Amino acid sequence: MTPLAPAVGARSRAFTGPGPRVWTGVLSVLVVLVAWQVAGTTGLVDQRYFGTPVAVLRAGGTLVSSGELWGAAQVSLVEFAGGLLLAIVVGVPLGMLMGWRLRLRQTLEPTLLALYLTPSLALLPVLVLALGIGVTSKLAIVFVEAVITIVVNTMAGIRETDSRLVLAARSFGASQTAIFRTVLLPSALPTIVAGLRLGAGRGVIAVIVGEIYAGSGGIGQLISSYGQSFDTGPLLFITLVVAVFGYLVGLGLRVVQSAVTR
Amino acid sequence: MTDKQISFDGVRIAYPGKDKPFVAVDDFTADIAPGEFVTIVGASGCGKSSVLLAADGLLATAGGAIRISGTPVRRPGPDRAMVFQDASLLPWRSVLSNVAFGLELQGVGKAERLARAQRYVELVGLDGREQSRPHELSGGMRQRVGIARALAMDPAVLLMDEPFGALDAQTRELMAGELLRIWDTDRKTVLFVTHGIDEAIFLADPVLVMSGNPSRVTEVIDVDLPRPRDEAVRAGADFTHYRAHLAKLLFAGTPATVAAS
Repeated sequence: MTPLAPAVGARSRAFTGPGPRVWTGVLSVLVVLVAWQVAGTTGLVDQRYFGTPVAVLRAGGTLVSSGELWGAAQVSLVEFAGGLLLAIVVGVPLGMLMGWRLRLRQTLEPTLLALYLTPSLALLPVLVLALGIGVTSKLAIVFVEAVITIVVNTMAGIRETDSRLVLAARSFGASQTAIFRTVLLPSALPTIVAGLRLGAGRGVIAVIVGEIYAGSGGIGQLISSYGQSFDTGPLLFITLVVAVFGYLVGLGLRVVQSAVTR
Repeated sequence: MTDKQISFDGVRIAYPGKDKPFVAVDDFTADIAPGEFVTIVGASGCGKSSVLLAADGLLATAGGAIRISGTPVRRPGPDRAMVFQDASLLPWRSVLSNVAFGLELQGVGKAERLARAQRYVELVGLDGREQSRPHELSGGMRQRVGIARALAMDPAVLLMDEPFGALDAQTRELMAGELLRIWDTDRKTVLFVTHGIDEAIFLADPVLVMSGNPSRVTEVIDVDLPRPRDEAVRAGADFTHYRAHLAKLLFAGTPATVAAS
């Protein structure tokens, strides 16, 4: 066997499609869907509460073709993306500074840790009171939910940098800013992106909960109104869409993360 | 320019302690001539690495003075370059980029620093591995990168902090031979800290022996073995003589039970 063989094998598998592990996963989902459908049609479970996969899909078709889903999704996307972007713009530099500068960390860390342990969704009523039921209050709750996680991770990434690398850079005459640019930042990057992933996940939940609580539109409000009218089909379909969206955002950031990790 | 490349004059190194500072090194005095290869040996924790860090300007002294070519050391400078025990390479950078790192920090332009780095990569025998990442290299190869990175700075003084301490015995001997080969090309002043007795003798013009509490230079052994040295030197009667002498010095302060084991 040539030394190249394992690498070639690994590559050719990627071209032949998903491996057996993926297929077992797909199979298990299919089994659940079939069982759900059978249980619903035979009356084993009450369709009013649990729906059936077919009913959910049918409801989904209506939601999509009527444009109702897309209209709501636009509102939620703006709130989510705006809040997350703001959290990144504020959280990453703040976390970097806190990881880098001892005095700043000592000043802000207690507050930060307190906020980290606070269920910030509990602040929702206050935010809605202050900012209204429009886009702004949801954008704010996404920001609050995401920013703390992003700051904490960014700070940890900077602080976990191997001190021996910093010493080596100092030995070669590096200034503080050069150390930051050439050692601390590249070393922390994977952890920073991991923080963005966690923050984005929290942001998805925050925007939905925010809209359910006080929405003038958006996916959360759709969930809320279909929920109140016991319309299980659309409700479950929308929930599924949110889950898929959250999964895709996570997946995208995971790709970024592995790209910046060596 | 004086005839002293490095001078240690009553150097004292202290660390913050619970009640009062802990003095690790006191009255460390030594003069090193240009082009000399000096090794410092001593038991673990005797402060030999601290002396080296102080000479590089990474550690403040609590007294005395260290001068490089007559100029007191205050901070790291391009006249000194350090090789660290664990090589301390940036894991996300290629070999070539790591070797160019010091030059980059000194503000050398990209084309020039890469060209210079390339020369030193070749000097340490790593041509063909320029684009490898540190984790793809063996311990010995990583240390070669560390040496190339320091030499690329073209420093007057090369400071080496147990650079082969983490390597297996065989690689260690091999690297010592390699280091002498590289050193022979331009004979920089080298200050090499080690706890290996064989290594200290094999490399050195003088061996500085550190002991005591706080520690200082307690003996200077002038190693009068012909250069260039190769593996055959280790088998000679003179080498054995130096070895026995140094071992006796280092174990003198150790309780008999430990020394016997």
